[in-house]
Amino acid sequence: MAKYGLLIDLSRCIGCRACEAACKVENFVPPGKYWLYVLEWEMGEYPNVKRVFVPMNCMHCENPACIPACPVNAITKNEYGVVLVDYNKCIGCKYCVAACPYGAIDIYEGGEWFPGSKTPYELIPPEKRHPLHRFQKGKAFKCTLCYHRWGEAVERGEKPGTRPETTPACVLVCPAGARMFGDLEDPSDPINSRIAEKRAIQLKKEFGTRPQVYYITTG
Amino acid sequence: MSEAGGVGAWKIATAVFVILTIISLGLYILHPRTVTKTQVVTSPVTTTYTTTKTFTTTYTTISPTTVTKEKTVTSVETVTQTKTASLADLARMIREGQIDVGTEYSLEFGKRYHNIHAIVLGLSCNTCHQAKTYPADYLYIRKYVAEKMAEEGEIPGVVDRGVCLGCHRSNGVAHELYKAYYGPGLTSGAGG
Repeated sequence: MAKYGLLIDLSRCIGCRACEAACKVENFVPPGKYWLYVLEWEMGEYPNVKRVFVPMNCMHCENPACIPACPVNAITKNEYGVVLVDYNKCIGCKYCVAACPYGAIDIYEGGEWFPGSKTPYELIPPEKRHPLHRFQKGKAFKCTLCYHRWGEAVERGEKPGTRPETTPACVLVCPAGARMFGDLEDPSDPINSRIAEKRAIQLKKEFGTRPQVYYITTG
Repeated sequence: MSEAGGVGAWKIATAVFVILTIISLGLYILHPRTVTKTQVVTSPVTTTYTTTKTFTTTYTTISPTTVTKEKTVTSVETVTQTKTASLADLARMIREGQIDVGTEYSLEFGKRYHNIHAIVLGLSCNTCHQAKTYPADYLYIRKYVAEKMAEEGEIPGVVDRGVCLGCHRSNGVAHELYKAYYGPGLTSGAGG
């Protein structure tokens, strides 16, 4: 069975936040909330200073902590390795928020995006959105690995990530080619050879969550 | 006559003996005899009951860290045993509903999550809330969320999930959230 994931090359990331913006636009993520966030800090002391950028989103873990934490079984991992929230089941208790060691889950709070009138973007009715974008106020929401873009394609037997239409938005827009999407179970997928070649790592392995997002930390 | 007199004396002696026996037995039965034994066992030692008598166990007193078990035996003897409850005991009692921690699943203070961690387990705020803000290199996406203030002017501080890992890992004392396992022959990260 396929298990889709991401590879992020930190040595290539320039901190432009295009992935962050694309994620927001693609997934109706409201202001003040992020499904993908680029962490940034400085290392060293003058004159040997450098900035570090670490884009982070849901790790779609093999052993997600959010699933056993949820008291109503609203979070599931599908057959392609994507961890998804069922907005109809979620009770907004935030236990998943507390359990996730990566801080990937947030709560949709609704409200106006900007003061005054609604933006055309907000006016798109829920029934015209993908079910993964029909958020409910006070309930959890998180990165879906853009499953709405490639879910149908993979059901048809198409390999996701081979066309722009079936590639996660964050991968598509990265100007530095720092992000790669692929099937971690398929040995012929280029993502696996790159993970092996660059000795990519998973974040916070000590939690035993086995993230499906890998990071290249060296050039 | 002397033989009859001897028999009469013997009967009197027997009657006196029987009466005295009955009086003694009555006094023994009617006397309210209560034996109280108190044994304090420090956690995590498990106390084993070796008595073969049938008894019912009722939890009578619950304080944040102490559970008093009252063991009522069928005889007049009452044995009270006090032990410091282990985390496993508390977790079981919470799941079985013996400790009321509320029914509303919520992180809000005063509701189930904090009732369990702060009230029942008695963890102080700074056990989990360790600093006002996350360190710059702490890899946590929701760093953009401003910490909620417990009281005006007092911020509880952020929580490093490593604190949760201690109890919520595999074979930990709490509900398993993280599959990390640190056991014999394994080192940190081997469970990942």
